[in-house]
Amino acid sequence: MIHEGSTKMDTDPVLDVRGLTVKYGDIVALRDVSLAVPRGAVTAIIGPSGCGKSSFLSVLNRLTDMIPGCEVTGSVRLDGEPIHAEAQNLIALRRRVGMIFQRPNPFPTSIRCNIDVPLRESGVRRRSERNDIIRDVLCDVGLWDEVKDRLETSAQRLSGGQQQRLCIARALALRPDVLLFDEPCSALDPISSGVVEDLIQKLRNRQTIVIVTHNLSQARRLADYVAMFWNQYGAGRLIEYGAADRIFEQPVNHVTASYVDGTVG
Amino acid sequence: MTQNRSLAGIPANSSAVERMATLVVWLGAALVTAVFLWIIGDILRHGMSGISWAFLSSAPQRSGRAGGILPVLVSTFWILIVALAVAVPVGTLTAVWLADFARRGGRLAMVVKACLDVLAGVPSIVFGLFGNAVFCRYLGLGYSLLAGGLTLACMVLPILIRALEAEFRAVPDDYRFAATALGMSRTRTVTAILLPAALPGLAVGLILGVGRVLAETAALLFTSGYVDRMPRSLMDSGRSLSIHIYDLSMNVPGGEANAYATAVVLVGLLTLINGAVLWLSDHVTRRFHGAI
Repeated sequence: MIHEGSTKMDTDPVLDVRGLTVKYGDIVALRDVSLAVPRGAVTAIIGPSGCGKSSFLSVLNRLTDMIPGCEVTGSVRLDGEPIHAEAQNLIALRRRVGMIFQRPNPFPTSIRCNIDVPLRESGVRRRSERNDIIRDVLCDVGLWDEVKDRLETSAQRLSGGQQQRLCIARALALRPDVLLFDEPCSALDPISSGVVEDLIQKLRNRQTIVIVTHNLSQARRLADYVAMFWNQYGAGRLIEYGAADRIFEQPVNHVTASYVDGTVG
Repeated sequence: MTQNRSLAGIPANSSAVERMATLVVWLGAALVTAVFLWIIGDILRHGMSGISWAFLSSAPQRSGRAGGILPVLVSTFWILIVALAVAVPVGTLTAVWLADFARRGGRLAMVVKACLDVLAGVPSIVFGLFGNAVFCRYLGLGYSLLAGGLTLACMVLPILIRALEAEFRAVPDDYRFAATALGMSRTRTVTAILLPAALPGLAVGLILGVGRVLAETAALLFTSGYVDRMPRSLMDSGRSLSIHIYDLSMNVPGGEANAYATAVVLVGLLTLINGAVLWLSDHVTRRFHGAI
């Protein structure tokens, strides 16, 4: 594996993953992955289906705990603190590491409630304060003008792209340090997909972002750093990691070279 | 063979078979509707004439041959309230536990489910015997509305729980993942997201429960008794509408007319409660899901 030295990558990682292995029963989804996620940058995880990209992502907020039979070894540190420590408060971790799923999954409640319920749960007691945050995050995702007059209507009446932006707003409301995107555009039509991608562009300077994507041109447009995953001997491995320009222009690993060329994968 | 087939590859005689099948399916539906209409029509034809405000608001006289059904209505009401007040919370909690807290495929959950399935098939008269032994005698409640209501609660719990559990399971896992990823606790996920999402199912479970309670006769004979006086407390014995119908038609010569009138009231009550529950559930669901 090639691990490129870069000041930003080595000195101040938000997430530091070492020797991570993820198993579902006897199946090894991910073997011995080490990767440091730089603060304030967009890191894209690319690679073909079944190479453990999504598993990697759901280790970072310990959503893997919800999957029966899933076993995680190795270490993941968030700002230096091990997230798999006994004393780790899972609820606090998930508020710091937000996640956007492949399929938009707004709750079957009103648009306002979708943001309001988790916000209240996170300890924002005053209603006026919550309303301010709801307006701010809806503005951030460019949804405010579209929905300000119908905040009490069902979130499920929104279009797919609007739903995904609502999910992003919902995650932003908790002011996370890191946002994980699991193929956020793959269930959307090209236009909605473009809107969501523009939104990620807008967030890039405020937020550390880790995005799993199948779409190489999207990775090219968005990423500062790219991690290339590949399935080797029946398990997902990290085969190359570095600055996006270098991975796309001068990949060292020949598999990466073929994959970014589109000749394999 | 080939000559018998049309261009699309469908057998040439398919239209005849189609027509037969359509006819049979329609016949089935018509038969069910006819039986239902016959029963309702019969009850209405014989019973409607007996319905009046006086019938609803006065006590039975001469063992029910004359007079009204007010104490019976009141007793039925209390039995229903006791049964639902116990069965709905306990049933909801158990269903949530089965669907969301018990380890999937865990041994304890399997045992609980097996018990519920057996209990759901137990004849109501056996529940009556159980209620008589446990509530009336062992707990010393005697023949009372409380004992009857508790017995019926035991009887409807298995059906209620399985209906609710199915509804909770039908809530997409997407919501659970989303709520977890947003740092919501499990309890909050259940109360804020899953329970409201499963509300229409709760309503259906409730209607099933109400139906079973109002229709039950056998289990109540042993537990709430069949005194037709006005109950003064939950510890009094009381007679439900269904027992009143049974008693008038089987034990009281000349009671048929009032039995029919009582049946009209029972059917009307069921319809009314079902309608109210559906309306309420729809109303609350709309508020929760957001206006459309």
